[in-house]
Amino acid sequence: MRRLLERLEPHVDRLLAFALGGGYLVLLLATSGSLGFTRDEGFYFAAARAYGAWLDLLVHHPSQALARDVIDRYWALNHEHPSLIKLLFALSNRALAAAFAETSASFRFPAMLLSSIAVATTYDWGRRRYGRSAAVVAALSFAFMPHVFFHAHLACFDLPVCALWLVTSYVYARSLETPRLAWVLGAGVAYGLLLDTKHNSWLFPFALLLHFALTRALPLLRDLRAGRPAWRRVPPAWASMLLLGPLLCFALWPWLWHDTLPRLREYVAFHTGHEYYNMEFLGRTYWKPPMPRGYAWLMTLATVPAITLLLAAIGASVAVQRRERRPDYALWAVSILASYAPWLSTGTPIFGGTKHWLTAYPFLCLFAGLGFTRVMAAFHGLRPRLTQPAALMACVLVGPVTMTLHAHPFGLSAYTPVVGGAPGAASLGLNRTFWGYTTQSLLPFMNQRAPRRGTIYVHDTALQSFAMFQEDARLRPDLHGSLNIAASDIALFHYEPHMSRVEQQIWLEYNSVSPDAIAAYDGVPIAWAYTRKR
Amino acid sequence: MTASAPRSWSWLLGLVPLLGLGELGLHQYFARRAPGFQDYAALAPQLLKLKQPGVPVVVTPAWAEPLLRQAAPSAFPLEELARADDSSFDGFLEVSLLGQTAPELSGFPVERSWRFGSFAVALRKNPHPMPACFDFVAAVAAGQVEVFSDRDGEREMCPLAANAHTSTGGLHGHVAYPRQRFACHHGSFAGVGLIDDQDYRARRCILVQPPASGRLILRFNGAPLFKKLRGFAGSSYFLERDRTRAQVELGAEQNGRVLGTVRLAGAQGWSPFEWSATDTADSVELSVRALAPGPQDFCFALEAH
Repeated sequence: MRRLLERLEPHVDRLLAFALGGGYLVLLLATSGSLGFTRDEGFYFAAARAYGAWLDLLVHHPSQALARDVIDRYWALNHEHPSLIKLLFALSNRALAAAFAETSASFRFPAMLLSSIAVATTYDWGRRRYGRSAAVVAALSFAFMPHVFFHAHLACFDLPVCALWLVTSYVYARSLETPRLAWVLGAGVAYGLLLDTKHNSWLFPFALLLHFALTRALPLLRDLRAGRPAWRRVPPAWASMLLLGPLLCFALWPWLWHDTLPRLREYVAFHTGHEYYNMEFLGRTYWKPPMPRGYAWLMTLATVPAITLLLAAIGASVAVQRRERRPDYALWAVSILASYAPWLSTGTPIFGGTKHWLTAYPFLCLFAGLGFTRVMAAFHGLRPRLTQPAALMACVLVGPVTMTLHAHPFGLSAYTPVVGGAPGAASLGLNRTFWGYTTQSLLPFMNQRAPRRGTIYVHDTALQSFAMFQEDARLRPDLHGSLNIAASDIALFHYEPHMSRVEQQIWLEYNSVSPDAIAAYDGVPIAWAYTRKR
Repeated sequence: MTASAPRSWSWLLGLVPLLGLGELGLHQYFARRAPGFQDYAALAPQLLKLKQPGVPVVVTPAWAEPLLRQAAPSAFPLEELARADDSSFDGFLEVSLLGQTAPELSGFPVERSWRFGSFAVALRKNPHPMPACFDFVAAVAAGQVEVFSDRDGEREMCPLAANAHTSTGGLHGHVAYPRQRFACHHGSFAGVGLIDDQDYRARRCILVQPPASGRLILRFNGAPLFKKLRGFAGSSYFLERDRTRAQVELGAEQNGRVLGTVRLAGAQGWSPFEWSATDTADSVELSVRALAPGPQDFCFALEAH
C-alpha cells in the first residue's frame, strides 16, 4: 500500500484535479434532470440543431454547405452570439445523445464539462501558488457557489465564458512564467476560443493591459530610460493572442465568413446597445438607465457564501503584503476588476442577475484559497488534531456545499444568510427568479391535472424549452405549449413584479385569483399555476 | 505551503472556521423560518371566520400573498384584492408573518389581534374612512350604464356583450379585455378590467378603449346626490411607462356642466384626481377621448362621495 502511495505521489495533484473536475461533472449530470430549462436554453437548443444540421451537410456535401446562402440560412439563427459553445452543443448532441437518458443532457454536456475544467483549473492554479489543501478550498468554493452551480448546468454561455477566461488567464500566466512556445501559442488558441464564446472576451485585453501596467510598467520605463529595447518587456503571448485569437474565432464562426465587417459591426452594436430588460432590485424594477451602481456588489454579497468572501478578503490582504507571486495575484485581481468594471457605469444593463460577472468568481476563490493558507497558519502547531487542515477545510466548505445543494433546482432564488436567505431577499425586493426555468417544479402538477391534449400557457418559458420537457419525457407528450392565455387550460406564472400583468390577465380569464399549485423555495413562492374551472 | 500570520491578529483568524459554521447555522435557520403550505392551510379556516365583506385581507410580507390566496380563495374577492385605493374601506385584516407589518397600514390602529401558529392576524381600523355613495366600477360591472360612441355629436349605442370573445395579450401584449363589455361597432369598448399600477399591483377599474376619433361616453343614470367625485386613472404601467405625453382625456359632466377633466400619460401610473359636483342628483356622463394615435387601453376607477 505504501509503495502504491509512493508511486502515486508525483501524480497526486493531477489525480486530485481530475477528481475535482470529474466529480463536479458527475454531480452536474446527476442533477441536470431535475433542473428546468431556461428561456435562453430553448433558443440555443434550436440554434445548436441548426448548426448541427449544417455540420451534417458539411460532412456529406461540403461544397453545398460552404455556399454563402446555405451558410447564411443555417447560421443566421442566434447570430448575435458567437458560435463556439452552440457548435459544441451540436457536436455533443450528435455524438453523445445516446449516452444520456435525456436529450437535454447531451446539449448541456459541453457547458458542464467546461465548468468542471474551471474547477480543475482553479485547483491547479491554486496548488501551484499555495499548496494542495488551500487549492481544494479554492476549487470547491468556486464549484459550490449556489449561482455558479445553477449556471454550470445550463446549455448557455455564462459558465463557459467564465471557464475560458480562467483557462486563458492560466495559460497566459504560464507563458509569462515559462515562455515556451506551447504556452505562448496556447494563450492565442485559448483567447480565440474565449472570443468565440461570449462578448465578455472583449474585456480580457483591458485586464491584460492593466496587468502589464501593474507588473511591468516600471521595468519598461527603466529600459526606456536606459535605452534598452522596450519590446523585450512585452509578453510574447500578446502577439499570439492578437494573431491567433481573432483568426480562430473567425474560423470557427461561419456567420462571419461573408460580409465579415458589417456582421462584426452588427455583433458589437447588438451588445453595446443591448435592450434593457427588467430587473428587480431592492423593491424597484429597473428597465432603463440609470441603473443602480451598487447592484453588482450587493448581489455578490447576497449570493456568494460569506465565508468565501471573507476568505477572499483575507487572501487579497495577504497578496498585497507578499512580494513573491505578484504577477499571478495581480492577474487574479485585474480579472475580478475587469469582470465587475461594466457595472461601475449606470448605463450597463443589470438584467442578467449575477451571471454577467461570473468570470470574476474563480479568481475570487483563488484569493479565498490564499486566505485559507493564512487561516491554516493561525492554527499551525495547535492541538488537538481537530485543527488539522481537513477539519478547517470542512468548516469553511460545509456551508457553501450545503447552501448550494439546498438551492437546487431553484438556483436563481438562492440568497445567503447575509440578507436573510430567500425569505429575507424576497422581503428586501431582490429578484426571485427569471428565465422561466422553474416550470420544472410545476411539471408533476401539469402531468396530473392537465386535460388530455390540454393547452398550457407557458408564460416566461420559451416554447423550445417547453418542447424539451416533452422530448425528455418529463412532461406528457399530448400537451401543447401556448403563448395565449385565452386558449389555455392551465396557465403558468413565473414571478417577477413587472410581469404581474400576466397574472392579472389569468385572474380575469380564469375568473380566479387562487393558484392551484405553487412552487416555493424556503417558503417563498417562485412560480405558480392556475387551472381553468369548467 | 502555509503563510505565517502576524501574532497580533492571528487569533481573529482562528474565528474564521467558526464563522463558516455560523453561516451554515444561519442558513438552516432562514431556510426553515417561513411557514410552509400546511401552515397556510391551517390558517385558512381561522381567517375565513374572521373575514368580513368589505374588509380586505392584506398579507405582509406581500410575497406570501399567493400562498394565502391558494389556501383561502374566498378571503380575496377580486374587488378587494385589486381595490383602487384603501381610503374607502373601514378596516383591513392584516395577516403578518416573520414579524413584519404592512407599511401602508401603519396609520391604522389595531382593534383586535389574534395569533395562529406562525401568523399574527390583526383587525386594523381606518381612522378616517371615506365610504362612497356610488361606485362607478360596480355600476359598470352590474351593467348599470349606457355606453355610446360620439363622433361630432352623433351618438351610437354600444350594446352590452355579455360573453364577448376574450383577448389576453400575454407576456408582452395588452391587458385582458373583459368577456362582459360594452362593445361599439368600430371596435372601441368599455368594461371592468384590471391594469397594473406603478408598483405593478393590480387595480380593478373601468377599462376603456376609446375610438380613434371622437369620444366614448358612459352615462350613469343611477348616481345619487353627491358632493365630489374621487378617482384614479391610468394605463398598464408596464406597457405605457415610457410615454410621457398625454394619451387620453377623461371628463365628467352633470346637467351639462363640466365637473372636471384629467389628461393622463402612461408614465404617470395610477394617478388620483378629484372633482366637485353640482348640487342636484342627475345622471353623470363620463367621456374618454384618445389624444394620441393608435389604440389606447385606458382604465379608471371613480367613486361618488
